[in-house]
Amino acid sequence: MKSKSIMNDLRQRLAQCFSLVFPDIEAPEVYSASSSSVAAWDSLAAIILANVIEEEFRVKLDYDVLPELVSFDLILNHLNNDHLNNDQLKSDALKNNHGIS
Amino acid sequence: MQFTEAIKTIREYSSVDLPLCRVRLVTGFNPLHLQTFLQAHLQQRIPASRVVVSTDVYGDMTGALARVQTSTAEMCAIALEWPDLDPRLGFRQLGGWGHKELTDIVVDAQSKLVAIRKSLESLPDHFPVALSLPTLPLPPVFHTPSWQLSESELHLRHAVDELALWAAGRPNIRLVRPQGQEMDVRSPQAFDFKGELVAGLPYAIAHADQVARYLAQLLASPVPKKGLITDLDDTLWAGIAGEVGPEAVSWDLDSKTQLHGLYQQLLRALADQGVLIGVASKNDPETVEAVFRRPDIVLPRDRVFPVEAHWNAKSESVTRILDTWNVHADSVVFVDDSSSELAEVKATHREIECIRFDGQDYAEVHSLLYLLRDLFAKQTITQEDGLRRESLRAGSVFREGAKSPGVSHEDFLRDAEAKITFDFAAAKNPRSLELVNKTNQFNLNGTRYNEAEWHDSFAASNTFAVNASYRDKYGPLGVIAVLAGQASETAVTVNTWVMSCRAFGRRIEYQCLKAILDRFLAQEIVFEFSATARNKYLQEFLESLLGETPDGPCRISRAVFLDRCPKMYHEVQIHHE
Repeated sequence: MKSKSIMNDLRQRLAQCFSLVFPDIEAPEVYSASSSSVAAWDSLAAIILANVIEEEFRVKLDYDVLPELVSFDLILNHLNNDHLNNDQLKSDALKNNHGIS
Repeated sequence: MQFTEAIKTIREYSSVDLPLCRVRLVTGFNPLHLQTFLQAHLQQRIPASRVVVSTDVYGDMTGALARVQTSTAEMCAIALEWPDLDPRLGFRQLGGWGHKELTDIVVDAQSKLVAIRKSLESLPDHFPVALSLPTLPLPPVFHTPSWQLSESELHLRHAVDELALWAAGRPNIRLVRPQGQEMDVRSPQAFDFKGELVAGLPYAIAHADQVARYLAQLLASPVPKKGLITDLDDTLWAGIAGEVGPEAVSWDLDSKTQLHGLYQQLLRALADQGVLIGVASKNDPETVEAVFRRPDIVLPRDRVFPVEAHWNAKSESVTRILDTWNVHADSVVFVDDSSSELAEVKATHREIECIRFDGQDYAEVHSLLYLLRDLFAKQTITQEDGLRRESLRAGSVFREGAKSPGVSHEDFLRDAEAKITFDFAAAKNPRSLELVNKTNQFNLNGTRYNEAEWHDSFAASNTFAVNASYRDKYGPLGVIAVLAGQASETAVTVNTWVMSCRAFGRRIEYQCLKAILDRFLAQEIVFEFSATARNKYLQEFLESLLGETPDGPCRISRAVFLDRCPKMYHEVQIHHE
């Protein structure tokens, strides 16, 4: 149950990051957003999105991985797989502490 | 500021219907983060406009600078870095770092700086420019070890310093003051080495934020405070004068109370640049005067006005000082060693900035000295700044004289030997814009201008700006009023009118209107009036003139004005443009 809750929390917080960087995306479409479906998602927007995600989740997204993170799901998986061991991230999620709201 | 906060700030204003403030950012590198932070910092400082920061093609500093003049920008921020002077001074080119290339690099850098200077020189004097000199480390281009300053590096730095020295003397260019030396070569705090190589983004996020903040502060400087009210015992000096005696309080190294001497020294400097310094002290007035008579006092008595020394509440003293100065509490700083006194004053004057002086805490006083400098910082010191304190004293004498028994106000005005000089070349006088942007109580509509907007508002041939200087037998007040607008064949439209509170009660406002009616042979004055939270004094004046409360733009004919204008005793001089 805890892990599902953490996952939902990550998903919501990531969606808020997307909404901030791509304000033109309608709320339901955020979860299926990708660089091919969002016209504004160019290389600079990808860097901005990465910076916002870094601040929100207190993680470091290396320039090397940015070219692979081209959709909401891929970014969510990356955060989930690579950073779920991050104690801070877990703690934030459990507290349901939404930084972007 | 966090990057997320910067984006939020920009988004918040992106769809708001406000006048645009266009800013050009010139960099030789990808400006992504710097641009975002600059826009956000400027937006926070200029909430009445929607700030738009545009950039040019990066990698071509001199070309981008040359194009600033033809852009629609009202101001410009420049972040210069070493590769802008020669690409070999960066990490993205492989042109050689050998000692044989070094001479050529220095020569190239010098000639590039000359080109940059020429581009800056071609910008109009009123076009605000904020310039940040190189902040990132030089690459390992020198054959000497990294802890040694080499001759070649000094040649490079000297060339940059020469540009900086020239730029600092220009009326429109403001330089970011480097905060400490450039970051350590290996410090990731400023320089993002990987970001530079992979994405052309050399500034780490925190560094982009810092540089942007400084650039924004230079382009949209905070309004300086006007006055400082200080406590005396354990603040201006160490010790309780009433207990240990006037001779025993101290402010020197020998007594280990130098902090107080430094505070006095700063207050004296502030007073000399026109800041009003007042005293609110629970003390016996004679004891206070005895301390001020000491020959070693650093802040002389004549720099302080008024002195409120008694045993009543300090909030009462502050009220009286604000009244004497005729300034609003939000323009004033109150300094005291007692937290409870600060709280008592704050409870009555919520907008006053209260700062504690803790004479036991060296670090805190050290910070306080810089903080006070920043709160009262000005770009230029004008003649009027030097006159302010004396004119307040004169004003006080003026008001007291007007209240003298047996002397009517009319007699007093008649005998004041007042002289007003109107100067119709006021648009170019920096004091005019300064007065427009800091006056609240007698302000036609509260409109503020940046230098470019102010200059541009006089592009049409029928526009005018006039300022008024005043003096009487009690002393000079300097430039105390500014009017600006347009003149047609029959009417004068006034869109800007401010008058210093020091000039109230002398009928100068009537003389101002008469001056523009006469100058343009107009039959009517149109006021682009708008009520603000603070312009009550002007509202009341217009009400008395028009016979009704104005609720927006209003007008008065020459005949009605002359009919309602009281008798004026000023000697008037007019300087035409």
